[in-house]
Amino acid sequence: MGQDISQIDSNEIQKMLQKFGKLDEDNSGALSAKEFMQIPELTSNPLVERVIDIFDSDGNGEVDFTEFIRGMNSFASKGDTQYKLRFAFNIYDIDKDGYITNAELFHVLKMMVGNNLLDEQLQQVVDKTMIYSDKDGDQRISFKEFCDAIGPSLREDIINHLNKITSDDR
Amino acid sequence: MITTAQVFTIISIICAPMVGIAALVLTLAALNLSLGIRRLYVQLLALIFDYATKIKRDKEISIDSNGSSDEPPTPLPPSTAKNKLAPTLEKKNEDNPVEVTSTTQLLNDCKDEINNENESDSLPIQEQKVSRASSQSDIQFKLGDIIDYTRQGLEAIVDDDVTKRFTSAEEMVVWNLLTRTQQQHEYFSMRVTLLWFLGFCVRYFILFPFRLFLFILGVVWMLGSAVFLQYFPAKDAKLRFGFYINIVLHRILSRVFSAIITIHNTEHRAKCGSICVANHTSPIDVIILSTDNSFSMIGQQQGGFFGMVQRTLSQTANHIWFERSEAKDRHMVAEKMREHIQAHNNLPILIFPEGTCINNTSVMMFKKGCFEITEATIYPVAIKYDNRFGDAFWNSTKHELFQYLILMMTSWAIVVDVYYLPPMTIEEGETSVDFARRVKAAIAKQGGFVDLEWDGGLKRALPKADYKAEEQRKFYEMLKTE
Repeated sequence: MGQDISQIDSNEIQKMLQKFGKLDEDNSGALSAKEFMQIPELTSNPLVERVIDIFDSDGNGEVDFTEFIRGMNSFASKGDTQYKLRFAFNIYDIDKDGYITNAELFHVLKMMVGNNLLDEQLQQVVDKTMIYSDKDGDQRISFKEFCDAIGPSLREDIINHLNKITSDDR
Repeated sequence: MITTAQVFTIISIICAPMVGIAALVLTLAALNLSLGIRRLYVQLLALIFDYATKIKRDKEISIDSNGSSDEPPTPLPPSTAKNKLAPTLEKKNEDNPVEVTSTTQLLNDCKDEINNENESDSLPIQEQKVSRASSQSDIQFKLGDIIDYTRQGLEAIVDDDVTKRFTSAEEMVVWNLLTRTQQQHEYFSMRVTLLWFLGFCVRYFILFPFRLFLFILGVVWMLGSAVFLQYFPAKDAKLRFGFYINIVLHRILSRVFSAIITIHNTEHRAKCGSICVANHTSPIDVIILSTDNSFSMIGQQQGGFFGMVQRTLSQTANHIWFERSEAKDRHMVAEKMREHIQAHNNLPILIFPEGTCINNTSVMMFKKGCFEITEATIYPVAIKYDNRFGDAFWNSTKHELFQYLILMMTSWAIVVDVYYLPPMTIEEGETSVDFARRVKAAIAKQGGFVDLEWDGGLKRALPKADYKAEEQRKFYEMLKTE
């Protein structure tokens, strides 16, 4: 994500730095998936790999501090709503090509549901979602189709939810 | 040229006051009297800290243009220190400009109960979801369903409940002139730096040698008493003397750390043949509790210095030490404890059910082992440290034991409140896990701690895969019920 990071103020960056330092046990300057996993609440989150992957924008398997801040920047309350929706989109878009394919949707859903659904049932859910959301018929969901499929009321929800992570008003 | 005679005279002149004071301290320890010097000292320190913080704040006001992080400086007299500590921590969270911390509180508000899994919120998205007329199968999925988990994941990265219990509690409102408590040393003003330097000299060059001397004295006392007790053939006499010797030993040791201990509710002091449980913050906990009562300790037989200490202590009282291999066998541990309790003259067993040191802001999961002994009465104790004068938490991943002891000996003082709670026994039909929870809740309530169900073992080990499977199951349930 190449947006500028002026959305977070210096105090927040300071806090992030401290947190980053605490997690970075081997002082390598970057967080590996293993270091993220020290947070028990994160380990129980089925989407943890996706979240880490989104942070890791250069794809080297680790999250350095710049990537960390950039990722967090999406949630600065003063940030552009596009970035928040983009983050949600990126959860699905595994290869980061700007489109959600059937396989990617299946993969992410599988992470969420685990063994509670058979693969066939899961595939049906995925196919249905694709049909509903894919307006231009190219068998994949673009960012625009994603935003439309979410629907305006849900969009507000997403923005508000992702806002709560760093927000002034309570 | 200085002759050796003169050197000796000089040394003895310097040492004489030390020896004199040491003798005084010993007598006071033995008789359980106190001159109140330590309390005066702590009050003086509190005033100095407030002064230093005021200077810092004034500087901050002039630097900070928006001045949003201000609050009027509130001097905290030590007599009310223990009441103010919990609100101080909350205040710090409120005026902290980084909102992420307070958001996690919001998440906690949504949680009804604390239990083993990280319970996700009840997905408020659900109420406003657009209903889909098309799908007829009972699985409804919408692209926005993942948002909640994403958010939780991000919040966990920024600030989670568990990892912050394993490091020293964060920056205090009042700076106590120890650079180790400040995350970064900033230069505020000449006066504060001067104060800090003065404090440094006092702590390292005056207090520390004196405390070290006392420490050696304590060790000598311990060894001496062990030898002394060997000559008592009768077991009763041995135990009776042992009881008092133990208490004196610990009083000496508590003076080593300049510990100011306030004990509450002494009528609930643990009696013989019972089990005493307490929250664990540091190895000093044992010393603190032992100044008022003698305990039988239970634990793994260690090697090295600590192992020698364990063996020596065994001379003065019946302690239960395990070999590492035996420790894994829970039945045997329970059996030994049962035997110990049933012999009515035996001292109460002291146990720290958390299993590891936690940083005194919360109480983590109590291991159910000792609560399974149904015949025993449990005397809970809450130990609350006042961080302003010295952070007693032992972060074993950061410091070795000796390093930690030296840190303790160069802090200002250890101010601690010990609350004895009324005894509890397991009720009809209550499982040991529930009983453990009940005791934990009582301790948390008394000490003003956050009551967490997370396992202290997470400090060193990763959580089990079950948690994730549980989250997946919940997601599935959510899909089904739309």
